[in-house]
Amino acid sequence: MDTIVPKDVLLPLPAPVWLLVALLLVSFLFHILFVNLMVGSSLLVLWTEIKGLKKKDWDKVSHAIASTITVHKSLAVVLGVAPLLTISVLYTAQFYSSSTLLGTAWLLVIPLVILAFLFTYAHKYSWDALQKSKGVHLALISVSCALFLSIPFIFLTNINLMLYPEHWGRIGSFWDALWLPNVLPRFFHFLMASLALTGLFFVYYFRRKSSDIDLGSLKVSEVTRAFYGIALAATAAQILFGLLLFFTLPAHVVSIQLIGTLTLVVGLVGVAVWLLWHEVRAEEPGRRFAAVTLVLGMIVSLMAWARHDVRETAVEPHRAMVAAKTAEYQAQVAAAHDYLLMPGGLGGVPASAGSLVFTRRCASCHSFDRRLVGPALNEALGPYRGNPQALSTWILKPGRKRADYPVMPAQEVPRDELQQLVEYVLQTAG
Amino acid sequence: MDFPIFQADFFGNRLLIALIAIVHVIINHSFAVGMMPLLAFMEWWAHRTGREDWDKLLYRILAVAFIVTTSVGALTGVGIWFSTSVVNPAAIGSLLRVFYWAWFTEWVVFVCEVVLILIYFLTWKRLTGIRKPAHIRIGMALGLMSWLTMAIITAILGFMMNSGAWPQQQDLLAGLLNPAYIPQLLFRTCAAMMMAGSLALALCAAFTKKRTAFRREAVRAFAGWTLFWTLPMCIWALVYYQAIPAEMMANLPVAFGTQAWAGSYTLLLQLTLAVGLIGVAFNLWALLKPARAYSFVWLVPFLCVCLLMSQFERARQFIRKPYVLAYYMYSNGVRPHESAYLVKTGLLANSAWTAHKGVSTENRTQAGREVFLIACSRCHTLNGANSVTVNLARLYPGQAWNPEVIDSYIRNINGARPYMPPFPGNAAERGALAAYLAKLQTKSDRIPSNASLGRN
Repeated sequence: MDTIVPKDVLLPLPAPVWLLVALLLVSFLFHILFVNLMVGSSLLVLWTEIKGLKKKDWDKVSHAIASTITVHKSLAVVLGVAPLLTISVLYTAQFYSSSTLLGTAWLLVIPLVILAFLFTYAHKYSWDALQKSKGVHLALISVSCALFLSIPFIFLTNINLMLYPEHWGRIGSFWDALWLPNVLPRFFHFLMASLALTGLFFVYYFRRKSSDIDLGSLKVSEVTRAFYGIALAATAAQILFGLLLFFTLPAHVVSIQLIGTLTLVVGLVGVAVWLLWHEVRAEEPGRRFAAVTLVLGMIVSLMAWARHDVRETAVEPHRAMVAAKTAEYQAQVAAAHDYLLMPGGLGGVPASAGSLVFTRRCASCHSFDRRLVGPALNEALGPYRGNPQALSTWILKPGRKRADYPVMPAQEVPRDELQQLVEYVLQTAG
Repeated sequence: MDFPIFQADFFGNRLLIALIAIVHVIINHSFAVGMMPLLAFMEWWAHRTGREDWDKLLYRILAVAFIVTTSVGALTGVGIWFSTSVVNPAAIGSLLRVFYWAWFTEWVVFVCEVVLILIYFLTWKRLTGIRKPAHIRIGMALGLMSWLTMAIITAILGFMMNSGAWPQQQDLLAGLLNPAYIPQLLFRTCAAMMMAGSLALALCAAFTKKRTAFRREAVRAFAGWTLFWTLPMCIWALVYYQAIPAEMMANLPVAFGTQAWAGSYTLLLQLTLAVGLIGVAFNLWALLKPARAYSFVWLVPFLCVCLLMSQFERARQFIRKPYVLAYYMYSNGVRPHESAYLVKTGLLANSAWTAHKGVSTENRTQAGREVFLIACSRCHTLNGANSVTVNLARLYPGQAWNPEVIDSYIRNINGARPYMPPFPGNAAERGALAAYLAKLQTKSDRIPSNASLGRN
């Protein structure tokens, strides 16, 4: 079927496009950073707590990681508001169409995130109480991990579906949209980014000079090396998932400048892997921390730009169609509206004031010669012939007269209108 | 017209939004806007008088507030955007364009609020001794931020009900600062203080031992706080009530209950008043005889004030009908400005997501169903909440539903029911809708959550 072209919201953008784009990119970068830390930390808590079953000191590491999630997850949510606001304004026609198409699945994000947070809190605050029942305690964090791993699917499915209006007509459910190419590769890409960034964060966290975390017999270098190892493995895996992501992109969104950006990214990933490799093998890891952070920061920023590039190339033709349709519609609406405002614009025979009031206020439920919602007026007005006052009183405060009819609601009619109305109906009734 | 149709056909789209919004308001007012000033104030008092027991109690209350606001509270706030964008994308899309910078500012304040509550909670046990005053100041700043987010959002809420001169002159400030704004804000401020006091009362009963002097003192303090704010709340509620536009007041009887309850408006008002009085009575009891009760008794004032707030929010949301954005857009997403064009050219022809672009003798029922989805389904379901079939049965008791009779009802529906928008399509579409509705009497239909493009 043809691509579906809706009209845009008929109000101007609140700011120049470049400003909105800048706000979107920057605020999203902060949002996704904390989302990465939130998801990555949950996975690392699970991993280190399992390690802690064999070697008690890793349980301390796990506890230290768990106590940071509270901050990351709160900031992840609050920082997500600005990009949500901005993408809704900048890509209204695309983003709201895909959100509405996903419907229930999109709404499920809310209860699922609430559940994930509550399980995370339950896990964090029951650390000492459940020291003896590690199984239950591990189950709590496993549930939050499972939730944190499933929620990104909904986001990625939506953000992917909005780019491809040509598919909208066939999307009957969330699952149809989930299996569009590119969603799964994007998920793994996101997951690896989370692990890489979180690994790096905890290298920093456990090496801080002010760190007063009790690691038992574990050496800081040992812990640091483990987290560097995770960052290394995840970054190296990005080469594979990055390629998969690139090759599942539809051909029409790949531009020369996208290839340029991504080539630069591949080069930087190479540098990052080389640096991380040396850190993992170093006697005292940490000397190259600043360099690694800088390179990963550059990669993340370039990827944000590449995402935007893909989004713009994919959406541009549809946006042009939407804009053309909206402009045409607005012109026609304005013409029809102006026509209406001209004298005699409504056409037809000029009606009496009383009959206009009747049409507006009564005609839904009353006709003169047949039962509608209420009784036929020819018959019902019988008792009021020659008694307009009684009819006025009834209209303002009606009650129940007939058992097989619904009760008439009280009508708030201004006095002059009421007089015209009563005069008209009593005259017209046969 | 321009977006796919999402339909919660049992629950009702309105109830979906209302439920999320009401949970959010209750948490926002009682756990944040009212609670943070209360905690900071009591923390200051406890520090001044050297009360360790109070400090401990306040920390436990804050822990509850922290967990609830940073999970359910924050997410239901985002949930209002999610649900409104799925139910009525045209309306929330328009509102976002008008209020982008208001919301952006609110977001900055919101970030500050979250950062401050993280600091306030996580440093409670670390910033002690001579650093305690700094901690108290953090609490006060947090209270201010919570209140500011509410002040900004209340302006937007006020605009949705009374947009002032905005539709004609696009004068945003006039819309924002409409006559109901200040009274609504002050009413909400006092209500939030009361809600926080009632919640603290319930929590202190859970956290302290029965029949101790400390329990008596805490119960008395929180009940006193709630009672202190009761009178100003009533005054501002009355001022706010006076500022509601007259045509919206006419919707109150239906807004308070449902159509079926509209006749019992006075009874419902009395019930509401009774709930309020019960709350006040329990607070007086707490003030005068604080020792004489089981712990769960002190939950009653909080339940009362939550009930009242839910009823207020429901009524407030309803009385702006037939508009979703005052004078700019009807509840079904159609703008009064485009009515003339749609009546001429038809609703279906101007919709992007319909399988039928016009009405013919072959597609009449199917086209009628699509007209229902576009023009009616934002507020009505087929068989669930606010269902059209129940309403039709009420209009035509014991009779066969006649398409022509229904058609003539819909033609002037906004006259018969002032909270309904006018039918937005052409005569053929109205006929098709009437035919579809009449058929529902004998042949029931169901609407899936994603009902666009003729999907069953």
